[in-house]
This record gives sequence, structure tokens and C-alpha cells, in this order.
Amino acid sequence: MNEVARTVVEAVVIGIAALGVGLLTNSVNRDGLALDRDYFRSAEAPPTAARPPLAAPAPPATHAVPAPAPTPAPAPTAPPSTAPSAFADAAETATAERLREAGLQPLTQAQALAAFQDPQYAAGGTIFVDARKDEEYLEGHVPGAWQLDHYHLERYIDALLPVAHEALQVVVYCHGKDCNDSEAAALDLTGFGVDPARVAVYVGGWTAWTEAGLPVEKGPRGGGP
Amino acid sequence: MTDAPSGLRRLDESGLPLLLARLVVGGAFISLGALKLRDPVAFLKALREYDMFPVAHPWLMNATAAALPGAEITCGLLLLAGVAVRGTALFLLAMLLVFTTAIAARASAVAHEKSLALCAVAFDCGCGAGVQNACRKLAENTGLILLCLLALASRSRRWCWRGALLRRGPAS
Repeated sequence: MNEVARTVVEAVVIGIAALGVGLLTNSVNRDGLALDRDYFRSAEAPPTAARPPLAAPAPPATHAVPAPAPTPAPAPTAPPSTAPSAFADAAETATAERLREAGLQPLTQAQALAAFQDPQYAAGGTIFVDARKDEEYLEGHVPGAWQLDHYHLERYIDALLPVAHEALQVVVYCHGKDCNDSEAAALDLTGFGVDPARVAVYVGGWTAWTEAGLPVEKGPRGGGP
Repeated sequence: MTDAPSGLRRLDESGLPLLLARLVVGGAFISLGALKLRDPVAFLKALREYDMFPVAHPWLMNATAAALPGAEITCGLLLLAGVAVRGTALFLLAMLLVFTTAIAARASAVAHEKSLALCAVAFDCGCGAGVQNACRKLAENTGLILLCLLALASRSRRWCWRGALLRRGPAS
């Protein structure tokens, strides 16, 4: 074998071994990726294909996490009206349009605040769901918000799903108009049988919430300001 | 480098150019791999922005995002230790060529879309360091490519633990 061939063979051996080590590392990494999951299905599939009929049981296979039996849902309330002009800027309006196309309800800043201040919020009739990752949630979130990181669904869905099924309105948010995680998390919920008419996405998200100086809870849920 | 002028050959035989290349390339891949490993989801999201993977086979993009950080760290460690230097350099060179082409194509697309000069474009290339200026990143990658070529061309095995896998490197 000449020098060039030896080097090429060595590179192939090293490449295969290194990629194998990489996959092994991923498998033991707490934040590692599931190879068989379609993480971006929600954002790319047509909205009607992204969720089963409401009466159908939750589809655990598409999420690779066990889904509890669906809880009988109370009668839905009317979805909040969202005039496009109520969004802060053109980017928010465009995001809101994308959410509508995905079958979700976009919420303006005023609507999100109204949902938070609604007496139903304290009673669990309205819930907020934070779709950001752990560290960001622990640094601060909407007081009382549940957590649902779309990329680590299995950590949160079992605790959240019964509450989401019972709630009259579920408000999902992530960083703001430039993130898709709230949309993905909202579609996760509707995919698990939560009525889409009750799932809304707060378009301004965490950025708009904090910029408006609204209340913040730090640490785990119920941890206080 | 056997036909190189004696001055260059002596410099190569000193092992210093190869040591420099190993330290810089190895160190760069270890640090960037570690950054990606800390947040695999961010790396996956960045990879998705390149539109390089078939939507019908999500496992391909998942496997790439899952395997690359650990592979980069492994190769970086091999280079630092001086194990299979030429094979590792060739594998890293191949990766760098793919990465650099993809970054250049995406930066060019963003520049076109936003009517910006290429060097005014800044985006998260998924390289581990967050949002970066495209030209700076391309220049960094070009430097790493040149150092990989240097490691490939060098005959020295000085300060290498085991320079080659398939045969022992010549004594330094």
C-alpha cells in the first residue's frame, strides 16, 4: 500500500471511529438527541396532518414518549379574537400569520396579559406553558408557567398533559417572534389531543414579557420571584 | 516535502510546524466540539437552517447533529496526542471543506436575500460559537484548512505519540 492509500484508509478508520464515539457520547448525554424523532415535523407538516382527530387517543409513537390516556375535556371557550393590527410590528404580524396557517391562535401582548390577569389563571382555568430550555426557564418565566421543551418532551409531557386537558386556555410562549419552539410545543399539545381551539401562542413571548416589566418567577415552578 | 529546499525540510524535521498545526487545529476542534456538545438542540436547529438534509429522513440530520460534536472532540484529542496524524488531518480536512462550502453558500444566500455585502453578514453557522461574522468564520476555516494541509504534508513525527495507525512513523 502506498503512502496516499495508507493515509486515506487511516482517515476512513479514524472517521468511522470518531463518529462512533460521537454517537456513543450522544447516547449518554442527558441532553442528547433521539435519532428516530422528527423534531421539525410540526413546523413543516400541514396543520391538519400534524394532529389527530380530537376524539382519538394520543399518538405516542410520533413522540417516542408514553402518552397517558386522554382526559375528558370540558367544553371549549370561544377563541380570543386577534386582529393582525394589534401585533407590535411587521415581524410579529408575519409570525402570527404563520401560526394561523398552522391552525394555532396567535396572542398579542394585551391578550396574553389579560389571560395572565384573568381570575381563571389562578384557578388553573388558564395556564401558561414555557417552551424554552431548562436553563432559560429556571432563570425566569411567567409566574406559574408550566414547562414544555419540545426537544425533550418526555421530561414534561406526563405532568403537563392532564393540566392542559383540563384548562380552558393554554398560552404557549418561547423567546418571541423569532423562535419556533412555542409553535412546536403547541402542536405537541394538540397532537396529544388538547383542543386546538384552546391552545394559543403568545407571539411576543418572553422578550416582550420582560420588556414590559411584567412579573417574573425564578427557579422551578412556584419558586417565587 | 522530500524535494523541498533544505531550509524548509529542516524546519519540517524540527517538528515545530506540525506541532503548531496539531495544537491549533486540535484545540479548535476540541473547543468547538465541546460547545456543540453542551447544547445539541441548538446545533440541530443550526444544521436545519442549511437545508442540506432530506425532510423525509430526519434521522440523517439527527445522527449528524448527534455524532459530529463527539467526533470533533475525538479528532482534536488524536491530533493533540499525535495519533494517526495524517489520517486525522485528512478526515478533518474533508469535514472542513464541507463545512466551509456550506457556510459560504448560506452566507451568500443571506447576503443576497438582505442585499448585504458578504462580509456584513452575521449568523449562527452552527459552529458552536453563536452568531459570527461570515467572513471572519470563512477566514478561520481557511486557516484551519491550511494547517490541516500542513499536517498532511509534514514528514515529521516529532512529539507524536503514535504518528500513524497502519505503520510506525519514522523515528524523529
